[in-house]
Amino acid sequence: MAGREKGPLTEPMYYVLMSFLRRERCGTEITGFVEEKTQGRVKLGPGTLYTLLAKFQEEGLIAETGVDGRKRTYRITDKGLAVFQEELERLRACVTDGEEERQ
Amino acid sequence: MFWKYWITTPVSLYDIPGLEHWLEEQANAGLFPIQVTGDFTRFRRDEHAPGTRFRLEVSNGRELAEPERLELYCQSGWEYAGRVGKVYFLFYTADPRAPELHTDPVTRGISLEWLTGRVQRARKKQRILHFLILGLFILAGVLLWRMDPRRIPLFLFDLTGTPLIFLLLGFLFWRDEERDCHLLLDLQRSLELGVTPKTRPRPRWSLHAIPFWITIPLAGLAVVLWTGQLFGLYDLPPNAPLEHFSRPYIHLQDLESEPLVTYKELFGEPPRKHSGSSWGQNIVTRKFSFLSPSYYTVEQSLLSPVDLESKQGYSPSGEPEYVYSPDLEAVYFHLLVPPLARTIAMSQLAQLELMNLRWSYEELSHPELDFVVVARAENHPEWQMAAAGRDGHVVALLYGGRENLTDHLDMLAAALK
Repeated sequence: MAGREKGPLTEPMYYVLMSFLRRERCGTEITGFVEEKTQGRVKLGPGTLYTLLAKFQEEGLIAETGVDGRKRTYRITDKGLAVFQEELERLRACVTDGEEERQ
Repeated sequence: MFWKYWITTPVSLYDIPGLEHWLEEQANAGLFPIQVTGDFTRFRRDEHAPGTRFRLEVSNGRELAEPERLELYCQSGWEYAGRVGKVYFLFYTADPRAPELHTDPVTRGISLEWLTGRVQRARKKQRILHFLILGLFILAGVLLWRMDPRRIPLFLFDLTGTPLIFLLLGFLFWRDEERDCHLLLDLQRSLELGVTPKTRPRPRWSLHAIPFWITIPLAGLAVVLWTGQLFGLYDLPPNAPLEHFSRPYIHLQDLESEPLVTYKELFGEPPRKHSGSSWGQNIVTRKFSFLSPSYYTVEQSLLSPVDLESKQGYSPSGEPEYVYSPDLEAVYFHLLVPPLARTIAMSQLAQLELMNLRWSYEELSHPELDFVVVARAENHPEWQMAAAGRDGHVVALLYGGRENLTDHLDMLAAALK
């Protein structure tokens, strides 16, 4: 995987990256997006979110775009997009494999 | 005004779930932490706050929590409580609806990477240091071995037991530190694999459980004890006369085949005292040590009742020109660790050796004794030493006189009953 050497993305990682696909977001907006998108299925604790933002930034998957007081906003980078795309394809393959076996 | 409490932190800082759980227990009891270190925790008396949750977040080397982190946590109902040691920030919430800080074990594992990296680097440095110290010990041992092979292990096994206590303490500290490091590294490894490890029970006994303030009087006591030992302050009563001493010891007269008398009996007055010498006196000195809390030394010297005017002085060899004057200096002890008896007995013999003589040692056997060792000074047959032990009871003695100690092994055995 381009961004993570330690294996596939976990669900919170996947949805956090997904949240940046359409626009820049700050932490609170990311939490809201994940809550809404998954209808509360995926919980995103503040510790998990903060750790992911720092880790993704360190790995170059997202970049900071602005600071407003305590609030920071981020956007996804090309590398981040590639990682997301790769994970999406992996998940698609998983779903396809599962469906095939079920029929 | 709040009452403040200081309590020893009974959990290692590396045991994250354990420390969080302990802080929650204290909060349930109405104690809120205002300062947490690896040694102690300062609390203020607060209202009982059952259900309060505490979480430790790795500081990643920062002195202050990042504003963004504070904002995110605050919005979710978590408050910042301060730093813990130099490696964590402490957050708490009393709101049962507040979400857990970490909802993804893999991400939680990632958040610990900085700390585990730091711990592993510190362990590497410590291992290098330990190997260096071990190497120095081995080198010193080899050098000493070349000088006098018999003494090598003996300096570690003197009767005070001090080096043994240091070794034991060093081992306990090392074991605790290793256990704590493994706890943290295992936790991080499990989390990164996506597994939330089960909470382990706290170890039944750990050095962390010792209240930190105990180290202050203990250190003071150790200094006093060791200083006292160094200067013989516990040799009580100092140099007491042997006549009233009831514990078993070898009577010098019983060793001798001719009747002898004490200096006092011969001259009717105590011997003239010289600084640092107890010659002519028959005295017992009770002593204290860690390995044998109550042990004693007995010094005896007797004189042949001959005409002193025609002699040149006193001598344990008893040549015609001197008054025959045998000496016996012996140390008697009962070891708390009986398996060390022979080693410590040999150490005592090494201390009794007259340094200007060369000694040869011989191992003998006796049906009533666990071990018997007799040593003789080369070219000076009047000087002999012996050590014997049974069930942790030991005698080590230096004898100057005409008798052959190997003929009196029964007497050694009797003194150890």
